[in-house]
Amino acid sequence: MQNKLEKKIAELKNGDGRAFDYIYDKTNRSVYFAVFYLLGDRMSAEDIMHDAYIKAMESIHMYRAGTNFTAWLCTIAKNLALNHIKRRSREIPTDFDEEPYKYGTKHPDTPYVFDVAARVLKEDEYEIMMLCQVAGYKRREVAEMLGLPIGTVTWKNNEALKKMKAELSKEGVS
Amino acid sequence: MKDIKKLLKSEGEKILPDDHVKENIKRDLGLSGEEMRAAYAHGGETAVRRRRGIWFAAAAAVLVAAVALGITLPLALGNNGPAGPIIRPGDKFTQITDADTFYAYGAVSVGAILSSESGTRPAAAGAYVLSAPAGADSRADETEYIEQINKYMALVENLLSDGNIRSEAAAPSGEYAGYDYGMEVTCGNLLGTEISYTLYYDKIFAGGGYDGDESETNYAIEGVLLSGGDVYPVEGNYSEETEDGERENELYFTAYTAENSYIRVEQEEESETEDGETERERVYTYTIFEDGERVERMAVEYESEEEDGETELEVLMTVRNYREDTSERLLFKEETENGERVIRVDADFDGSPVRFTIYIRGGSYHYEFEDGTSSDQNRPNRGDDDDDDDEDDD
Repeated sequence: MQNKLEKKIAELKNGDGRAFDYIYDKTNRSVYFAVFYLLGDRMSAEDIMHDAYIKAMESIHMYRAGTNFTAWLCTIAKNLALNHIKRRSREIPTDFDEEPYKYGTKHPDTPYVFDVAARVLKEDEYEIMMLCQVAGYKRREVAEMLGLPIGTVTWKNNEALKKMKAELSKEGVS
Repeated sequence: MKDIKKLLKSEGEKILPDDHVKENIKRDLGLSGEEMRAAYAHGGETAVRRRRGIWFAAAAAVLVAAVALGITLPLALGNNGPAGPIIRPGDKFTQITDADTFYAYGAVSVGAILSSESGTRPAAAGAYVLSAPAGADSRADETEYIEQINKYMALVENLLSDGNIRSEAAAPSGEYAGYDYGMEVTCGNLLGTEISYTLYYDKIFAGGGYDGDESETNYAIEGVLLSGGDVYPVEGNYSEETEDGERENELYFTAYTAENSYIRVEQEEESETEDGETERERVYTYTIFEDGERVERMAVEYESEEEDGETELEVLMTVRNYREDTSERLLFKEETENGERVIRVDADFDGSPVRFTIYIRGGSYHYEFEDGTSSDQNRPNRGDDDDDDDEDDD
């Protein structure tokens, strides 16, 4: 998959816009969950993802071939997300913890299980579990996307599921 | 665990990004609409994918129907199994004909190695000190040989035993109730005792179908392997593609012992055509990784020997130890000596030829080397496991 992704990136760099579909399809879930972990709501995550792709595609010449495109893209997206959070905190001076839904730090449409995940899982566990369980990628694909050994992905996915089970049981959800 | 997976999957629909995001990005980048449609004129990749999708969907429907009719499980590896070419009685490899039988073999063989790794130790304190008569150097070498061989002995016994690997459906229960499938895989050892391992798993149909000259089956698993009281996360892949009569496959079964430590079995196949007849030789390789580092690779295959008009099976193991930078070649042959089951071993330890006999005596292996030294080792997984910590108990 990585070889084909690199090939498509090269095609895009050479001006072939058709390559974008493949690039987006292979990377968008990774980017989305990296951002969703930070923002906690779908609408903001979609906006930031949109901006991240625009920024990345406009500076695609900056990407060094063979250095993990997905990770590069996620870094751009996370930086945009962090800037968004900072900007939001400046624009609306209030206590996000007390009224999280009002100020967008938690979205009312975000299912509870994802709030729990963001609370109890480390960032890498969260991302791996989401890609494996929600986005439906095979662990081998996730390993390639994140530049990790497949064993690490398997282990962290299992650990994340165990933590989720323990937390939800404690809260009487499952 | 399955409940969590189902919950995430169902709730995931509510948070996954909308398709319009992609279209908006493309529009803002000037890649949308007419330009893209023009690029795909005359069908292009999209049309091909769609056509393939129809084939795959049809094949998937047939497969689902087959599962519903109970054709696939309980799978039949043994005498009741699908009519496969039984080339050599006792050859476990010829029984591996599809994904289910491959995973069953993976469970048995990897389970045997894992049980040996955790269960091998001297039968009594000091038993690694080989008995006389031999020089100190010789004893040290032979102790090293025994340590190396013992971890593969349970697998050797399985491969040389009479009978077949058998498998039957096992309903996931208790802690494992969340898995969709379960199978109990049984294989005999050389004293005729049966050893069982349980696999609970989910199937992941990653595609499969038939399109013109191409066909493929791609079906992976994720689950756990229960061996005695131990539980190992496992994953497997069985994908096979055929194009213009040439077959390519990617088959592996992996059991994890820690985050970056695992043992993986892979199937490799070599074919040779002579006088119009094609003979396929199968080799199974076992690679052991510890903390992300590949430490050992072992390849196992059957060799057959004609003796008194009968074909006798031997097991050939080739071991490469990357940490020690050593190689070993071991040929195992099962015989009966004065009514006792023994294994003759003809070995080459990094250039040193060694011959010895292993006597299988209930709970121990008795090693006797040509120079007269001997040693007794515990025999793991001998089939009388009376552990009371079975995690499967509910």
